[in-house]
Amino acid sequence: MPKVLVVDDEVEITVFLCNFLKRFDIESQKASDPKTALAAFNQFKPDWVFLDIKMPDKDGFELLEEFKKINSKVKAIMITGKDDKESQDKAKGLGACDYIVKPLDLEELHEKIEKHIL
Amino acid sequence: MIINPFSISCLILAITTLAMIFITLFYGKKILLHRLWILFNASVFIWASGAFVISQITSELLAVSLWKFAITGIIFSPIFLFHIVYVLCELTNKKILIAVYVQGALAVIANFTGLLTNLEFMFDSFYYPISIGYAYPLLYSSWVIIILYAHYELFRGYRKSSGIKRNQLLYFFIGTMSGFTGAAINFFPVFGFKFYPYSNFLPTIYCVIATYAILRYRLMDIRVFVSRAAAFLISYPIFLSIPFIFAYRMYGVIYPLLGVHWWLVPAVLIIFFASLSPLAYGQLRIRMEERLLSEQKHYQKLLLQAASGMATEHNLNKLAKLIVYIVKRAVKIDFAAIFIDDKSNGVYRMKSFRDHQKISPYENITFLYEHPFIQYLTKHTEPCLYDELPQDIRQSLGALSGAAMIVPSAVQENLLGFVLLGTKLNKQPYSDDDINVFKILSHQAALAIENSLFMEETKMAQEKIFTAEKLASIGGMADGVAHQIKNRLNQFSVASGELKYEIRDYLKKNPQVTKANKDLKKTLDYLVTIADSLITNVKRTDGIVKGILNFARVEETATFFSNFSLKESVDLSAELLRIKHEISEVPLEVDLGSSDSVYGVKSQITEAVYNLMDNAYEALQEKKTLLAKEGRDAFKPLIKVKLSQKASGSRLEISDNGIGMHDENKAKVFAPFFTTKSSYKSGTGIGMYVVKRMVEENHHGKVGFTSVYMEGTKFFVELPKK
Repeated sequence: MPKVLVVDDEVEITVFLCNFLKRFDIESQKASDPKTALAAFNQFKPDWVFLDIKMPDKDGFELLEEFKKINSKVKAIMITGKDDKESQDKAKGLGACDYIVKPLDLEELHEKIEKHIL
Repeated sequence: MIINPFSISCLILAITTLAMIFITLFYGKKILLHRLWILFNASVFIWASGAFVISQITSELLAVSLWKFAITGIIFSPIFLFHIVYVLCELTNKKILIAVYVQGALAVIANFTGLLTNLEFMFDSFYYPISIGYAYPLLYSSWVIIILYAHYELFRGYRKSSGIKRNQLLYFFIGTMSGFTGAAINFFPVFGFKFYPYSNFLPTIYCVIATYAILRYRLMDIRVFVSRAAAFLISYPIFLSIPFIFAYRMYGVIYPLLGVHWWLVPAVLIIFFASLSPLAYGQLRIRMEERLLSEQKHYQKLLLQAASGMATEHNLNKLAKLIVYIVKRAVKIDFAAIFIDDKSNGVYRMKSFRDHQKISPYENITFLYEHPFIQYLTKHTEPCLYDELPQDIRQSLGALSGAAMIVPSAVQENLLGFVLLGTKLNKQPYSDDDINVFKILSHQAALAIENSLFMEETKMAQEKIFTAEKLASIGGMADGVAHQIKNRLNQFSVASGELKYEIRDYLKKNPQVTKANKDLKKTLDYLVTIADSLITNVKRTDGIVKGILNFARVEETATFFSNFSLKESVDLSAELLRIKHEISEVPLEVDLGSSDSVYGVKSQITEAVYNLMDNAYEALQEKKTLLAKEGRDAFKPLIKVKLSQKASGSRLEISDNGIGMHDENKAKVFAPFFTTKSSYKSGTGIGMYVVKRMVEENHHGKVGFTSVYMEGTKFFVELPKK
């Protein structure tokens, strides 16, 4: 089964999402700041990352770039408040597989998980 | 030349009347009154010149023809006098006027057929007429009647009128009284009373005074006139005669002393008194007038002081009260009222009123811009008397006919307001000096009013700018606020989702529990419905936030020109309208043609489209409300958006079948801070202003509209190609 690292600066969201992933028997870990995220990425070695774009200190794009440096094969689904073409293009350019707009609809995420991960 | 009192008086009268004719020709206007005055003087001139020549000759034959000529002048002078009074006093009985002229025509016939007089050599000097039969007495009495009737009307007119007109009539009355008294005495010898016609000097004075009265519409106070004449008499003739009297009396003393150079003494005296006279005249005049007009001068000084203080008052209402208070108190009049331009309603509105009872019988009086009185004032911005107004305008004033003086305040031909003044409590007329003081006062008041109007407008504009700025800063904050809200919404969304999945999973994993406990199953199903409802509401809230955010961002996004899809702008605008007006659907018909691509700054064009659609929607709502009030609701509101492409660029039309515009609002559509919207949701009044600036200044395009009240409005935006 694939492993997913969930990164969002809102702790509750990471808790909910990890719990949600468990339903599909997906192993997951959570991180709510860039430092823990990098540490978890190195230790946990996830196949997938769910990344919030707008975060303090380091945004999702930068984090994705760093993850890619460590493991170029890592796949990502970006989660963001911004629904513009600019952000979508940037995410695609950095090699993200998909893009979900906040507020996160878990049914939509469900579809994407089935499409990409399962 | 034969010199005797009669010949001299005739010569003086002839010269004077001739001079008066020329003066009236030069200074008069082409009005009936002045023409009649010329005719009157001409008839007196005929008499005077004829009589002068008669005084110079001894031939009886020549005298007969000359007297016929002179009497023609006598016949016509009362006729023209009556006609002048007829015009001056605005008499209306034409029959009397015609009768007077007919009488004149008969008299002329009688005169030339020799029915009137014979001649007799009188006073050892000249031939003078002697009445024969009844024709002359008859004619004479009809003249007397005409003249008395004219004076009766003059007196009535004088009693009725006020102010300068009153003065004018008074002068004229005094003038004609003395003139015709003089003339009447001339007739004594005709009836056998051998009384030398010395009184022939009197008509001269009359002609001068009356010319003054007729030409100088605004007269001096008669007391001032008399006092000035007295001052002149004292300072010039009396002063200047001193050297001559001195020379005459002291010749015997000076000649032995100075010999042939005796004249030096009186010459020096003449120079001395000649230079002293104007000084004396000036001083004397001022002293006398100060005495005479102490009250008037006092309030004039007060007014001028007050006028200079007005500029410091910036509150329009207070200023209006102040002006009325000052004028009423200083001039001591029965009432004063001020009217000030109320641009938003297109009227001049009474701002303040004051009379001795301190209550206004003319509450809330307004004059429309189109009112004949206002039309008159915009053309004549100098203070004027009520009596000077044309008759039709006086009648149009109606309730305000108690006004004696009107003082308009204008800046550069722009009538800001006017003050109406009642009659003075001491019943004195307004003088020329008063008018001069009011001129200064009105100028000061105009500046002060303009100042206050400007301050008021600026204040209002600033308040609106402040609101607009607040909105803009909210726009700037919106991004950050929206991010926060979205994160919260995200929590709701994820939590609700989790709730739903948790329950669903539980039901999947434990089918036996729900089978056993139907109530639990029911509760869990209900919880799922709640979770769904939460998620739907989160999505709707998100939609609203997105709408606000998109709108706020219009100003700040980079102003880049590009070819973009107008459909997106129209869709976004429609979405915003739905959110703003809380409606499910905008009645919209969109026809974007084959290509919906336009060239411009997307954010700005979107805002323009949004503003135009918003106005269209408001117009629909307004018409709907109006029709509903009248009980008619067969109205299908519709906004049409149409895009057409031309070689030069794109033309966008946004039309509605809403309320349309009144003509008076059409010119103001693009003015900043103009709004007719009553809705609390809208009406900053800068929407169309911003649209025009964005389209015309940034895009070098064109915005315009056509509109018919109750039928609808069509706006177009033309955007040139790249």
